[in-house]
Amino acid sequence: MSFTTQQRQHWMSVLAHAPTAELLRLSDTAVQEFSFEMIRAPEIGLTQVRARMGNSGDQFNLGDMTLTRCVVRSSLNTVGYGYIGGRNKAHAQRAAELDALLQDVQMGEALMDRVIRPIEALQRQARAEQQQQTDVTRVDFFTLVRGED
Amino acid sequence: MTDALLKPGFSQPVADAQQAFRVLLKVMSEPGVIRQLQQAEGIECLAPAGMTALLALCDQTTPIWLAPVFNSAAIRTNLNFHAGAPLVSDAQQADFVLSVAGELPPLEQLKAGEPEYPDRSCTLIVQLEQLEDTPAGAELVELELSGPGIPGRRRLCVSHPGADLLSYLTERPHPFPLGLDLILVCGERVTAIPRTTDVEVI
Repeated sequence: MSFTTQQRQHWMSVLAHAPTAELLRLSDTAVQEFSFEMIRAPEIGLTQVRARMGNSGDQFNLGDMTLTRCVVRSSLNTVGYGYIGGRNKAHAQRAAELDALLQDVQMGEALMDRVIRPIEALQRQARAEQQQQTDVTRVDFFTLVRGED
Repeated sequence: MTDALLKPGFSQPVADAQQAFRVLLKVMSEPGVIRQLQQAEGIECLAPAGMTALLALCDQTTPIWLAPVFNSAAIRTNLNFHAGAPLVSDAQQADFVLSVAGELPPLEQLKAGEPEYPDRSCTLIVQLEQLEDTPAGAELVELELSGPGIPGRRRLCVSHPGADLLSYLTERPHPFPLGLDLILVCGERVTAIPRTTDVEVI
């Protein structure tokens, strides 16, 4: 294995959060070069999200969320998993296919450049824009000395 | 890595599971009727019909006992991955027993349900080499079935069912409504002999 668990977690996270249209557009040509065997066809389910109060308190059930998952085996003999929030089967399948290809040494590096990094840049940009819009309306409170003493 | 052993499950998770369940309902309600069951692929020596039945019926709440012939890494991995069912080494705790006729656990010790809950019983899935509705070979054992779901009598021919299974079916040691239900699979074919069926060996 030429990648660490953290690296794989990172690209799976980028794939899951990617805008669907952009993900499909960037990866169409790469995916067409390979064939995939469907191990678990895309299926929609429900999962319970749990959290801890203040990240250290007791665990409680935050709520349920819809989840779509898919597992494929690529012609490079790697098995890819796609888990995304929402009900988009095409997105889950593409995420699984890319996860399979990213595990391959040669294909992985090329795909990082062609797919993962551009999407990451988009996500960073979107976050920055959001931050900027929020910053415009920021109010800094300050208190004058009231001369009570 | 277990990933290498994974095989495809149902290609249409919902539709395939529903169709498989419908077929199993059909053969259970009309014992001895043979139907096709091939929504999932077989694994190693496990026939497609056997795998499909397990995928359609099993989940996290149904412990499965596997006969030694089926207890391979590939079959365990795939059942765990696609059905999520726990595998038990003690057949008395199992809700489903997957076996060939020669490797069945002692049938009288399996879960037969309780008088208040006869549905809490074990279902046997037995894989045979041959399963016919007409006597096609000299080696086949001919069974005559009668009871609910059978107009008159129905004939079923099976290969090497084994003395244990035959004596269980003809003597029915558990008092009704307790008992075991039997699903017979062979390649892509399936039939069933539920506990309500009277069996005679011809």
